[in-house]
Amino acid sequence: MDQSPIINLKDVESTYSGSRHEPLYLKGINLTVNTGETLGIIGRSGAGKSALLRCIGLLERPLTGLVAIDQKNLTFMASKELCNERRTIGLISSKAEFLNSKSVYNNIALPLKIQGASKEQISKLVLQALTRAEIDNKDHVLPANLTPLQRVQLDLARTLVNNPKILLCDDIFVGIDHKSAEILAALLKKIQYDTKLTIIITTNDAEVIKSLCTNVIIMQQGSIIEKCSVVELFTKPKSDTAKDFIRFTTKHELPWCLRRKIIAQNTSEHHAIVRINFSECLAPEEILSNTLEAFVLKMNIIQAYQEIIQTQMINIMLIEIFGDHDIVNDAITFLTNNGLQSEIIGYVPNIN
Amino acid sequence: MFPTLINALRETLYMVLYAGMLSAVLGIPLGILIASIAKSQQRWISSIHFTLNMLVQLANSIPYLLVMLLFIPTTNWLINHNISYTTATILPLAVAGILHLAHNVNNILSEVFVKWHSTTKAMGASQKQTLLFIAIPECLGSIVQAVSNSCSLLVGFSIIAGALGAGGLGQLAIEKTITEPNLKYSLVSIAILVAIQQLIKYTGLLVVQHKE
Repeated sequence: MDQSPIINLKDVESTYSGSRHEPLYLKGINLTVNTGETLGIIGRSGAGKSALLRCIGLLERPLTGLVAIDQKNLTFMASKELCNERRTIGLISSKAEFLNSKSVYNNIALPLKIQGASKEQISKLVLQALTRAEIDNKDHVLPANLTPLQRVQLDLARTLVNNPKILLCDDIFVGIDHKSAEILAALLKKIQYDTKLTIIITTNDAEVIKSLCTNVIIMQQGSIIEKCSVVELFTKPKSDTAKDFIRFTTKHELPWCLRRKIIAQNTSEHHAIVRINFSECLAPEEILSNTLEAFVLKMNIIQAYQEIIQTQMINIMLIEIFGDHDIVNDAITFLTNNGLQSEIIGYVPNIN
Repeated sequence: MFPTLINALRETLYMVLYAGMLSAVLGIPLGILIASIAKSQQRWISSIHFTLNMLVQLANSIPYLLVMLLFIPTTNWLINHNISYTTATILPLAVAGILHLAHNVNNILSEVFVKWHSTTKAMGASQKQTLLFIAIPECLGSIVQAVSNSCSLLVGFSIIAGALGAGGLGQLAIEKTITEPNLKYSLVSIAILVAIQQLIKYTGLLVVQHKE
């Protein structure tokens, strides 16, 4: 895949009204996105996800810093040129507006009509966009009669007539059921595969991140606190926000009944709880059972989580190990050296 | 009774129709102007917007009776130039209509501009294109309704004008009610006025429904 950067943000700062006297809602943003990448932006509500998207799409000029799309600096571009440049950046959003009195066909034709395209050209491009967004049978329907999924598809089609290089998706999975979200994700993937689009998605849905994105940035209070691949996010989350984000999917946390009892120091009445992460190991089961056998330890699986994210297998296991503490420590070091990242997260009292 | 009523009705309709037409012709463009220069970056355009917006807002809150009083020198001047009082009254009526309609059109369009802000920007549409391709087509129905609302407001205003001697149903009702010991003229005038107002509103509604 082409690895040239298409989006470059440097030291971007911004406030809501554009005046310097307000608190910043984007602080020192540095970001590079490569062509064909699918980047997910996650973070809690109000962390500046949408603001960052609006900044990339140059819907608002940043207060300081540079925004370059395709090696072209857009920060100081005159309004007229900027209007043309924005057509290469599509924005679809759950809050998009449509011409309510016009059919789907006319809604999609709108950007072309604005540019003054001829009638034949419009009909050709609109039909193409309708097919690409997979709503070809709805061209005479009014937007009010569409389902939430179809509204997003309509928005997508309207964006695709401009043939953008970058697609920004602002919370498009909000208010859409799981099945529809799956369809939409597949659709986005297909479009990206066909046209080498660069897609940036803001979402709070771990499933979306898992199925669509290659890389993820995590935002907190207006700054990017972490940038990593999706696999890294699910296996080695660093920041608290990232841990919170994946908590509900990957069972990184202890069950409540154990969390209540866990302590940091070991005594003879306690045994160790170990988290093993063997995403990058080829024969984990074998190594694990062999190691425990060699060190003469007993173990008990508390919970295990296994998933394939894109091409990567992710395994996270929570086990309790009974035995002498020094031996347990040795075993854990041995496991880690053999590619099973293990760590003791605490000790719980032995039963009875 | 009948001929006097018909005559008064004719005068009222004459005032309202002309004032209504004037306010549609001048009020809609004024409203569009105010709405479309609202977000301008240039200092001088935004100061024009501020002035116009303030003017419309403030003028709209002056009670119509006082507007009429403010226009007394002008109407007197017109009457001295051989123009009837009824015709001269069209001027203050039209001014009130223009300001009211401009205010409403501005409100309608501003709302659309706010709602469409990011969508149109992402589409790469300029403010002018947004106005021509999105705001006006989308708001046509609401604007027609605003015109009919302004017209029915003007009917009410023409009665106030009538009370000051401009003729029409208002003057008739007031004079007859004071000179004659019954409410006959008043009641008939009220019935006719209510009918006119409903007719105007209904026509507006019909036009909107036909559009959709």
